[in-house]
Amino acid sequence: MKNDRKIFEYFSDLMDEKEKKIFEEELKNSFSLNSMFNHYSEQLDELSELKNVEIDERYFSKLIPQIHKRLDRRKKNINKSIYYAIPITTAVIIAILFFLFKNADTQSQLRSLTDVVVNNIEDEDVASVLLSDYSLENSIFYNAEKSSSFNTGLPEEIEVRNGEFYNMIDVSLLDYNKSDFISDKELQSIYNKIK
Amino acid sequence: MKIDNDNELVRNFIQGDESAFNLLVRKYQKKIYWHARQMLGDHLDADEVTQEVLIVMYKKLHTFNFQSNLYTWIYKIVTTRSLNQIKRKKLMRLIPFEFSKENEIVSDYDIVENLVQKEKLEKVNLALEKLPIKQRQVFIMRNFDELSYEEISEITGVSVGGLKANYFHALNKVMRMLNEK
Repeated sequence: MKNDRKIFEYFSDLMDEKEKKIFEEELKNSFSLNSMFNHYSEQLDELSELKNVEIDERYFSKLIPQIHKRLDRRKKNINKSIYYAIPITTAVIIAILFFLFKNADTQSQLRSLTDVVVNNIEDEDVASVLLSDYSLENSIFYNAEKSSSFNTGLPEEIEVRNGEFYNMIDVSLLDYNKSDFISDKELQSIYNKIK
Repeated sequence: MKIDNDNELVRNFIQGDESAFNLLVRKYQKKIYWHARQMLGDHLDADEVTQEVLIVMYKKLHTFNFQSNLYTWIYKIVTTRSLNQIKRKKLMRLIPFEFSKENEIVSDYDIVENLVQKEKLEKVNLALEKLPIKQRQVFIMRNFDELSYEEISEITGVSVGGLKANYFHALNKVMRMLNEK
């Protein structure tokens, strides 16, 4: 076992020069080590000889044409895929563009229809039914348009504080006393009505 | 001279001379095949890897930088492809029904026609199969491809010291297996 190890270390080139010299000297003097060494050397030579086994040369003569055939097939496949890829890509691009333009067109048509409805149909219920037939978005747009003409929101200049309205506009500019412009007779008549 | 010739052939091929590629194939096809065959153990896999390697050579020769030897460049491709094939086969064996060892494609054809030699080869293959991949690789490169540690190191990227240790263990195991009974 110890001899085996030494022989394999020698074959593996794991020994330094000094160890090699000692081993070679031992090889000369030890019969058992020498015969073991020869046995393994012969086995290794036999293994190396396996690369020179008789082979069917036809395999190697067919190899080059086979490679070229495979390369040609791959080229053809690539060309084929290009033939398919170009029309498919074009069709996809056209479909996308068509969808985008069609969508934009429909949107603008609906918007103008909404305008017509907003401007011409007074009845809100009729208008929203009519618009919701086309699109919810336009129905919302209609309601927004309508409500803007009856805006019940606070004007920007009014601030709510402690539940009361404070006018932020200069009071002197406001015409509070409307009664200044009404005649005494008219005032009397209003008073009588209230009474 | 050999290297210059290789480089010249590569240059010719890059410039469009297809016959230069054929000459390179003729020169290296057996080395490629036998390395793959020893690594993988059978003709069918070796054939697959050999063809793959030659196709890669055809496609990638224009990237060869002429700094290293062509054969080390080719060996790098062969070893990578062989290792990939081993991994692929291991992975396929893990899939229980789709691909088991029994279901593997068995071909009677083998380029080794001599039965005695074929038997010897199979015996060595059985021993090599039991080695860890790195030990198998260095053992094949040293014994069959006759490459130096420095060349193997350039191909595999493993240090010379590491290769020597791997070869020592491989040798120990192979010899023990071959001498069993």
